[in-house]
Amino acid sequence: MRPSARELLDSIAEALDTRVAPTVTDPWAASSLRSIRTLLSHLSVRVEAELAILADGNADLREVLAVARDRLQGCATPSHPSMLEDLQTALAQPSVRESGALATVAVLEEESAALNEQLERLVRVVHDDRASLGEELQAELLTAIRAFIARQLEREAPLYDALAGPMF
Amino acid sequence: MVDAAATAGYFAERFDAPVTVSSLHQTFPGQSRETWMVSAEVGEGARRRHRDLVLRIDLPSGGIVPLPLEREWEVYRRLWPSPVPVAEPLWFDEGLPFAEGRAHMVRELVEGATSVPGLTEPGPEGDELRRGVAFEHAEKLALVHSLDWEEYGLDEVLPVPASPAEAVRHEFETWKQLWFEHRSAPYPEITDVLYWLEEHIPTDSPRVSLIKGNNGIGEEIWRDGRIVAMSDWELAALGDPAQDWAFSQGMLGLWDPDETLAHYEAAAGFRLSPRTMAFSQLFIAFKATVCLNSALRGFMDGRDRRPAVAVMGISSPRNSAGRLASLVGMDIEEAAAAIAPRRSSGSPYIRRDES
Repeated sequence: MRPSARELLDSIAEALDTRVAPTVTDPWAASSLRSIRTLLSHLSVRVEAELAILADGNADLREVLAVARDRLQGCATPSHPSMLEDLQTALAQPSVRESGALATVAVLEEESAALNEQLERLVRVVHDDRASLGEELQAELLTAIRAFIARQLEREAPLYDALAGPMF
Repeated sequence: MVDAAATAGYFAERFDAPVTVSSLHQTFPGQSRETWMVSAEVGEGARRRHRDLVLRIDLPSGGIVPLPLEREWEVYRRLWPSPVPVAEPLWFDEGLPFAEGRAHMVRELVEGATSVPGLTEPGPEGDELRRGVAFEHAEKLALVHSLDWEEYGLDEVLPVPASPAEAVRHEFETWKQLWFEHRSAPYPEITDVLYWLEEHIPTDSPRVSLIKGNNGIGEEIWRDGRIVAMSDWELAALGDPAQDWAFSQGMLGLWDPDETLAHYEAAAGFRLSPRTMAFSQLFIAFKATVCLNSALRGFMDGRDRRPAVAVMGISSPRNSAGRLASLVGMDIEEAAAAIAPRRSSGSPYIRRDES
């Protein structure tokens, strides 16, 4: 639909900047306006980028977790004994892409939350079970996790860069 | 709702005398809790007296700092008879009809300002002022950090580290627990950061001190070039004094940081560990994230829908602690340099052993 959501958000932001902000004298109202302005900048990016960022991030994370699942076969993870089983269960769920379901932000967000829970568990296991994993595997998994985190930070950077305006 | 009529009625009960509120306004930009300035006439006839009071109230969702207001109240109460300058605390209460039952405390207003005019002026006069402000702040922090906290009963309200060597670890564990209790979602990158930081926790604290938490310009009350009251004790703890310098919000950028810290150490009577200073700079970025992100739960469940809460809550795990994720694996002092306050020359300030 045109105007796009982004165009509408940008027009609202412009009106606030040029018409509203100069007339606001109350410090709390002006502060709310600054926060709203920052949120609008964020939304302007998010509304167009979020779906792709989520889909790409989830696909990337699935691969990282799948490699970890394969490498953890036969390894004890005493801090979280069901780690391997948890990964197998999580990855057995078809991805939103594979399921053929309509990829909405809400559905992808749910998938992202579930995968991130597994990643967090894996982070803990990799640190807490260094002895049982062995130095080599521990380093390999940690390198893979940190490489994913770096890619994800880069992928999501536009969303967060847009939030770098005044908080209040 | 806090308004003049409700406040007058409530204060009249507390003072057991008629109260007329002549002025009531919420201070800006306090975000962590509501702070209201109340000017009131208390009593009648010959006993009528003007009172300027400060009313601090929990947000509807609690507070941005995930620690109870009552703890801050107890810190004020114990510091009031101590050499540390604070406003006189009057009372704390909660669960009353006033302010929808929210926790609140009332203290006297101390005359002064949270800003220091002329602080950014260029030239020799500005320099002299900046030096004076930095040194005054250093002296007051030294006073806080060298306080005998047991004498004033602060160990009754603040958890006590087992020893100076445990001071940083104790605070680290406290905030790690708060993070996992209050965060808005799993953040695997921050979990990884915590493991990295944990491996580098310093153990060379000079002593266990009362630490203030957020401090610096905007937090204390200044009058005639002096700090006449130290305010905002919501992050007070017993720990390593270096943490306060890491959370001093630009104070080390006012004047030569080595001179400022030398002045502080002369007043305090002990030296700060450079490594703990570096660690604290990283730790404070995490601690700020705990506070800013934890309020997001209140936004998501509808208790606090202020846009500022959303901005702070969404951005902090990436724009503050997220920066730490990009530093994981580095040497602590190198990592601290990446986020350290800047000298006037623009280079990062990291304390070195030779300073």
